[in-house]
Amino acid sequence: MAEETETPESSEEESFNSSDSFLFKGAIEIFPYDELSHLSKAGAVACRAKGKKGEKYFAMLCERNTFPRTKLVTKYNNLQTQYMAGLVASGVTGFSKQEKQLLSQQYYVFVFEDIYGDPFTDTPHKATLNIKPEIVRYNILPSLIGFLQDADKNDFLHGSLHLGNIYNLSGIKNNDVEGVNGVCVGECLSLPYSYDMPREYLTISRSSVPPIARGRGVFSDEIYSLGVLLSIMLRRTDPCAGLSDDEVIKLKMDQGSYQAIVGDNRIDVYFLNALRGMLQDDPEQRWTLDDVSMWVDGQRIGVKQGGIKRLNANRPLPFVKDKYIRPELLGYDFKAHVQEAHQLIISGELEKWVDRSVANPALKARLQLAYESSDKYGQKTGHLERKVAQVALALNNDSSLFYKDIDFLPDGFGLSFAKALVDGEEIKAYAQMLEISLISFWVENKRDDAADVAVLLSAIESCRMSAKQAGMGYGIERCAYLLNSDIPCLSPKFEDYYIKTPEDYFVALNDLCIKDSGLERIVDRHVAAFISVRDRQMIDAYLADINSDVAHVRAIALLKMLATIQLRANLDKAPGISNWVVDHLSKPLLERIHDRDMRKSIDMKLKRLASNGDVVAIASLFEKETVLRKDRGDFNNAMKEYQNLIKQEKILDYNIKNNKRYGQGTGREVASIVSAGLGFLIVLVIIFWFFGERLMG
Amino acid sequence: MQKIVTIVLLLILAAAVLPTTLLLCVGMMPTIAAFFIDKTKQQLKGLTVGCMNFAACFYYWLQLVSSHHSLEEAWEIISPASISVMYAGAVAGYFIEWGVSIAVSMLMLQKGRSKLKSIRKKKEECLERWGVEVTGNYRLDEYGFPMRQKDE
Repeated sequence: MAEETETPESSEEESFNSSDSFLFKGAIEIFPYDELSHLSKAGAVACRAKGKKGEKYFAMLCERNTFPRTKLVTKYNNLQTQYMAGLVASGVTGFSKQEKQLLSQQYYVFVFEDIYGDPFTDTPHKATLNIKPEIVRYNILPSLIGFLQDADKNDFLHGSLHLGNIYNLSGIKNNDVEGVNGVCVGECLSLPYSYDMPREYLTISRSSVPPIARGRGVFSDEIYSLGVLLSIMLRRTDPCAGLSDDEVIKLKMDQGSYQAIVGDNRIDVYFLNALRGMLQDDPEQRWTLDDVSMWVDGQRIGVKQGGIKRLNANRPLPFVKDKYIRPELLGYDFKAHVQEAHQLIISGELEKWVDRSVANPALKARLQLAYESSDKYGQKTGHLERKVAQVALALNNDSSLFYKDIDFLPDGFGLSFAKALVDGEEIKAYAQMLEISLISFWVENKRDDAADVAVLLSAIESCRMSAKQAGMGYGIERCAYLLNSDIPCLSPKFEDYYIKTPEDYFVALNDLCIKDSGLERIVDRHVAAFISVRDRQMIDAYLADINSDVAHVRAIALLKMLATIQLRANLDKAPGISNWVVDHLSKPLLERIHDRDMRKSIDMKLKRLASNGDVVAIASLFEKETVLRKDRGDFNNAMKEYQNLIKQEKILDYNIKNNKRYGQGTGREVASIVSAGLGFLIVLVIIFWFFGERLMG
Repeated sequence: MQKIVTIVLLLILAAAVLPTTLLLCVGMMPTIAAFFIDKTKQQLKGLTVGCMNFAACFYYWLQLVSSHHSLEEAWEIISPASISVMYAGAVAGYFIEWGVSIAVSMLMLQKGRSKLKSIRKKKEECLERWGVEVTGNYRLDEYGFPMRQKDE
């Protein structure tokens, strides 16, 4: 499987592609309008592609706002399984003429080998398939288990194991269930973890939040999805038929997932225990992949004992229009009725009910902690929602988190926030979330320990600190990048580009500068935060100046940032950027050079460099350590010289106007010299005359 | 003390060459007067007049020393005609001082004016090259430019 490579614009392009295709990575021809609808997903279009030798591929074109799982490429490439398409190449589309003509924006592209036949079923949303147990056991299960074993070995979470993402091997028609001899699992990189997974396939906590907020997942959830998938294949009737998603979740909470999904269906004895084990709601009690493998190998594995103790109250508690005897269900319904829940809490009814009717010391202690924690918080903004969320968490410590309009699993907070940002939703609630430390309360009170809780808390703390700072590069936008290491830059200015590194930003900016001559600002809060988080050396040294109110300080910082990116990444010439720099930054920069002669000379050099694309060369013209320092030194000397000239002028002017004896001193000196010289000559003449006369006489 | 010794030595010398002393005392009277009149520090008037005055006296002094160098001969040389010649030398000295001084001072004034012109031109050039901020009449920011609105 191919590693991610840079985009070469090769000469082969000419001979390779046609007018409805473009060349990707120099070797793969992609036909963006030849959509493969059975492989497409909401937000990621699948289209036909082919290799140099005619290899059959398909490409997933992922938009910026769908957050493809680009960081998983390396792990994906390590997979050896034959039950999932191999990744041939991945990366961002380029700026070739053909790509610009065919694509309205930049996409992140995954190119896979097209090993898929028809979808396993025409009706993926059909809740029952009633396939013979032996077909599932011998023809389908081995492929799924083989795939999961490989994924587990490589620490890879698929997150999209559902009927709509299962395909027959190439050549098998989807109506021919009897003829199925192995299935393939569809790709999972083009969308976030579990994003396109129907709720039924998800564990209770994961299914209760919006798709974008489902977090990063754990492997036991894959087993759960497998359990649901097998159940749907085997069952004749759907116990959840006619129920809404919410009702299915409540049914799972009330009766347990196995009962909610399998219900009264008569399951083959071979699968019975396995489905019970796989559909355990308590991850600790759920079968592991080893258990599943042993079961497939023919060993007898029992259902693990213990698990979640479901609490029941002696008397029901009326809340809104229902009566509750299960604290978890009550807690779950709090998020839909926050005001009423708050009333219930402050009236003392809830406490009394838990104390007298549920009578569970652990729950009572959790509730007490929730009260204390929210009381400590006082009456600050959002105290009501915070209190309700904390009490709901105490009642159901396996639940997701909700605060105002947002509902998420803590490790899904980042993506949920990023999605809200790109969708232009109100993000005040997210900012408050960071402030009120609800996530740390969730971590303290949740039933099981997530592996990366410490990492999450540390990232949240960084976000909290960052959100307090107002300048560009900080603030709430930075949190999106701190919490999601693989999302592209979400700047609205660059909505048609897929920027995943500072280098991508530079290339995209060059293209944007060529396209949009009226571009005024090239760095906004998103760009600054994105570059700072992804590669701090590219921008952090200039961030303070980029935030400056002084135009030339800002201009030089921008120029240096651009030059640093071009220099460090050894990027090609960028005439779009260099022209933009000359057009927009040269004025404030030149105005801050004292020496007008130097200004003219630099201005001429700038005009020569404008179309050259060498931003580093432009920046060197304003090198602080040499050019500007020399200019400053020369200016200081000029100031001294000017003062000296004023002094001389004053003296001279005064003497000429007022000193009547001006020059007379010198005149007398000259007169004395003239007189001495003349006198000496006369003496010589007298001597010659006197003695000459004598000699002659 | 040094002055006194010099005066005493000069007096001894003058006594030793008394005829010469007599001749020069009479003949160089205008020079002595010029030294006293000149109130300038350099006392150049005496020098200017003295040089010409001495040149005029020189012929008569040669006559004196080339004969017996006696007082009688000195008295003989000092006549209205010789005194006129000697004093005419002094007058020439005065003329030189007056004429050259005026000529030179006029020259100097001319030179001063052209220097003033050149200073003003240099100032203009300075302003043109470095801007008004070079005059030092403006409040400058930390970068050495006139203070202005923060975001220009």
